[in-house]
Amino acid sequence: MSREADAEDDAILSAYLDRELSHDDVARLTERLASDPALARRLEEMRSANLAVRRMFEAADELPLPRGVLDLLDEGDAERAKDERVARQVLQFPARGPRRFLQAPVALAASVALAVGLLAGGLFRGPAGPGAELAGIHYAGAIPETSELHQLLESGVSTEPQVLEDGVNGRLLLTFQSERGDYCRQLRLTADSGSLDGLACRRNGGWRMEAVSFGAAPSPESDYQAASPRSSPALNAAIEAQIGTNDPLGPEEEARLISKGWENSGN
Amino acid sequence: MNKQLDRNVAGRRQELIAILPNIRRFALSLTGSMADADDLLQSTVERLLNRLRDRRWPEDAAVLPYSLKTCRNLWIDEIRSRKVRKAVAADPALFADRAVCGEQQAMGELSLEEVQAAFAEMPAEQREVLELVAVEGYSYRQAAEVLDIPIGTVMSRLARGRSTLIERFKR
Repeated sequence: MSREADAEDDAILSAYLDRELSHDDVARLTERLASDPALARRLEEMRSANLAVRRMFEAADELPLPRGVLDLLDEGDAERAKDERVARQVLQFPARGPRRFLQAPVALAASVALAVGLLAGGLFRGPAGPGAELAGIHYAGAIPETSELHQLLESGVSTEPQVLEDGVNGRLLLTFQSERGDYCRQLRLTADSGSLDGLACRRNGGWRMEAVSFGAAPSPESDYQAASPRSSPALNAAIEAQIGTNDPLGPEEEARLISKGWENSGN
Repeated sequence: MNKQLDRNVAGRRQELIAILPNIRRFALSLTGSMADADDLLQSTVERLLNRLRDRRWPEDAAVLPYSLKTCRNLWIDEIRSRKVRKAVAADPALFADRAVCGEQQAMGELSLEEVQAAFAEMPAEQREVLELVAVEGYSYRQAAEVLDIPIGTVMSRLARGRSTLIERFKR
């Protein structure tokens, strides 16, 4: 095999991995792969290398963002007030799915934790290191098992408000089984300086934040606790998407699931 | 008019917050070292915030590609003025503290440290295009736009980059 042919094949295999080959070229390559084991091996090597790089970046993502950057973006009360006008939005955590040119805000947990921290006056400032944060959320929405947020999701009873650290009130509003089969819970965290509505789902023993909506602090006049919870329309839409035709769980079923550690159909 | 501008500024700031990890990953691909990536991230965010405050952000520039281009331009400047530390080939501390997760193993018997070392040794021009396409999921055309190179160059650098890694892994 000449060096030029090798390079050419590498380019074709590479483009194939990236889904950049034309339909015809894919057909041609598929035929070749079937009869050329060396080529097929090369493709697998490329695929492995690709995956290794992605895993490496995923691991790098779990490291906390540098403090200096977080400080840069925290501009104090004046900016926070301005932020609240644009705060009512849902950031959704994209699954690794179809590629798209990212024009809209991409929900990534470190940035969500930061954003929430900025709005909520340092509530969830993190990731700040192991064990430091109240509701630290790692990149890609994974909620660390050591956090109070995990505890709340794992064993909190819906509608019973709980006081967490630093004067944060946590409240579970809804529990349901998603169309995927995993269990999801809607929660609300409130503090003097802000609130967070979130949708988290349980998979492989851990909770993952799927969607977040944050809002301005409740006005001093309103009795936030007494008011019936009204989540943002956008978060409701996220819930609709997950719940499908299922009904939310009633209190007995919820209690049973919690006592069994959420074990039901292998979740 | 001012209100609209304000909303844009605030909105862009929010978007910037949301894409910090994207910028950091790209910075890692440019510099090859986490420490340098964090420094570059900091400089990038500073510059972007200044542009935002001074209303010098182009009206039609979407936040993510603009941020990545800004990051890259900064890095090129830093390279030219030799401000950048020599890239660390492998940083054992990089993955030492991360949460234990059994499935987070690189392919085959390679540790994450070995993958990172191999990645850091690649030419930067191969690293950056590999990160944009394989990790961020950009198309060739989109990567070409961010990097300001022809699509054919994207294609060949990707192939060469992957080939480089394969040879390195085999060692």
